[in-house]
Amino acid sequence: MTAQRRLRKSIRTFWLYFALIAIVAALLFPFLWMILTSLRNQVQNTSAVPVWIFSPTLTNYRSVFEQHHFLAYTWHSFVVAVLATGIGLVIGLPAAYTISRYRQRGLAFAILFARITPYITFLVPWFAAFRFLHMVDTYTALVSTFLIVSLPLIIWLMITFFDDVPIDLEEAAKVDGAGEAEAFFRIVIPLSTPGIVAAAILAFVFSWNQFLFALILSGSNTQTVPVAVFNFITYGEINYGGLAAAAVLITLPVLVLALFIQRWIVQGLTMGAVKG
Amino acid sequence: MLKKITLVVAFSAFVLAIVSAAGFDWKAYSGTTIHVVFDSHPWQKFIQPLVPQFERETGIKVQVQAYPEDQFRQKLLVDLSAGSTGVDVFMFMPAQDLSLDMKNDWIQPVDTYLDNPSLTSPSFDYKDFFDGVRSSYEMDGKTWGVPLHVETFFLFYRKDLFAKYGLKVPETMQELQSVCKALKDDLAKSGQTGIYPIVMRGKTPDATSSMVNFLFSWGGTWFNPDGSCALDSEASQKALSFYADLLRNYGPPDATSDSWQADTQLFAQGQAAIMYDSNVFKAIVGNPQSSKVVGEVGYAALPAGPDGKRHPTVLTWGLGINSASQHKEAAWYFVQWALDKANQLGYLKAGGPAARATAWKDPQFLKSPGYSKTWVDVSNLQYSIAQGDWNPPVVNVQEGRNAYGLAIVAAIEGKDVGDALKSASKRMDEVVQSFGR
Repeated sequence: MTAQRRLRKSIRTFWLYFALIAIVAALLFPFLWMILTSLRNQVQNTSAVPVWIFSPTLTNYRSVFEQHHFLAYTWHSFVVAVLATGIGLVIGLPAAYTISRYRQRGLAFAILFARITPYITFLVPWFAAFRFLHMVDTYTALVSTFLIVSLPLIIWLMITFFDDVPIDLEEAAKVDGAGEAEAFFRIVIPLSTPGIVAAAILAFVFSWNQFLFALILSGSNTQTVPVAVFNFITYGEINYGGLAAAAVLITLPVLVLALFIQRWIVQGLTMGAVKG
Repeated sequence: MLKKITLVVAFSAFVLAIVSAAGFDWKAYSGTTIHVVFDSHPWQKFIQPLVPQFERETGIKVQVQAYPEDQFRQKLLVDLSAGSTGVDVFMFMPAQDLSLDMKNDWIQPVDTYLDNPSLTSPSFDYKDFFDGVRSSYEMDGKTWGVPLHVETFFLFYRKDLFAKYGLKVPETMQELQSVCKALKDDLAKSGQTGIYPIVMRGKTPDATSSMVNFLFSWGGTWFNPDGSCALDSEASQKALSFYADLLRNYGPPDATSDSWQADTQLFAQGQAAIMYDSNVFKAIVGNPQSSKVVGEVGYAALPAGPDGKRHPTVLTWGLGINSASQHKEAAWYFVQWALDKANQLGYLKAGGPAARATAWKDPQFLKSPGYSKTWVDVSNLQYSIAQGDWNPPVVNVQEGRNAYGLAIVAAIEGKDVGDALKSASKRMDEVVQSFGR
């Protein structure tokens, strides 16, 4: 009887792992394909029958670094994404806290509108304004527009986190003589760290990938990496290998960041941060 | 007395020499900075590394930005429509952009510069650009830019397959059809089902650019003399039926989703016997880095239509100056340097179809590696007889292209050609009504 049960159990385990592997394989396949493409030449990449066995070449990676100022673009992207995330947190955290504690749902939806409205709507007036102020191709222009992407994201994620922090804790702090601000900084913020980290990473990734604002508002001094990737699509030819190599290199920093901080993301996403 | 006259003559000759020498000075705008926006294009790849040379010769500083075509258009559209002074020189295609640029006053005519000997180098020789190509830049009696690149659609074919099956290169449209039919039978008999007799564009709106040569071959036009759209004419119906039948019967099964990317890929991988597309794609199918059939590629002119004549079109890219630019003279200096004889020859040697006639005859080019006599002869033949209106001559070109493109797709799918063209025609009339011509 027990043997039978054990068999049934191991069959169930087998299917569980099978399903897990199938799902992970499906999710990882695009990445695998991207890496393979980056190591093949153009004839192999345009072949009708996928080429699985080939002698890998690093030419594509070399062309990424030699033909384009890839490191400079990466640095621009990094500066802009860090600033957009940092400023987003400084403004967004108190905003989300206020919305959460004082039940400002109308305000929250007004902020959401900035996120729902197609970005192209802002673009021409912003461009005209920045042009007038001689600020096109500056970090200031890029960062302040990227806040449209990062700020609503941070605020909306954090509202739910702050909702979960029991008000009793703050009241206890106030009984002990802490003011509103002190309670926020010393009690609420530390308790919400997982959420803040998750929000920061998402804001960073979205800013890192932002294309449209960067295309219009950047120039030779601030061109960001997603815009640079498109250099491999030219009139009359698409360099698949170069495109994939650039994509691999762009994904790397975000991947490393995510691996390092994934503990917090998982925690943040499951939101078991505080036991009420 | 005589001495005096001699002296005066000598002196005036001396003054004249100084004046004419001082007439044009490459250093005249030293210290200016100009901004240039390019499409990611073979020409941009050629010229961008040479820009420091221009900066040294003129003292003008150049900021270059380049984007792929869709993004390039987006960026330029925002810049120009915001009246931006941040762009001085930009690339454009007359048949695609000029009507819109002129209507919105975004582009500066260059006649005043061309006619002014103190602004244009005596060696520039504007008349050297192909006649048919120059005319694409002339509108309302003014010249709106200088051509940098000129391309035309013709046939690429596999010499080995043609030899193997004893086929003759088609000279007329009827022969093109019979060659495709023969290829289909021969390829099937020898079991080579992985090779399509012909590949050409079937996707909207890209197919418009290739279909238009068939339209003109059958005597069709974009518009009637009274201004209404002529795409529903009998000639246009016959042309589209022919094109669609050819692609449906002898092309790849998913032709309506294929543009040049798929065409060139199939041909370069050895999966097509004939490719009908732009001559610039020699750079892909004739390049061992991207092609498996390098040694077997033959080139042939667009076959003659029912009237016995060939009716090719040319597509050209050029440089224009933003009318809001605050450094128009420095911008013009850049244009004439970038498109001078040496740089056009360099572009041609690098494999790009340059727009200057002398470049094509230069001994340096005739001896350069990768030179193909048939490619040059066929290209030149078509440049000399081509017309420039490969796009519907309307302000909203994209909508016009789409209107025709949808009819092409419908025809390839086997729907009624007459109906498809009637609705294309109707749509084109609406486009003209809303946006103008």
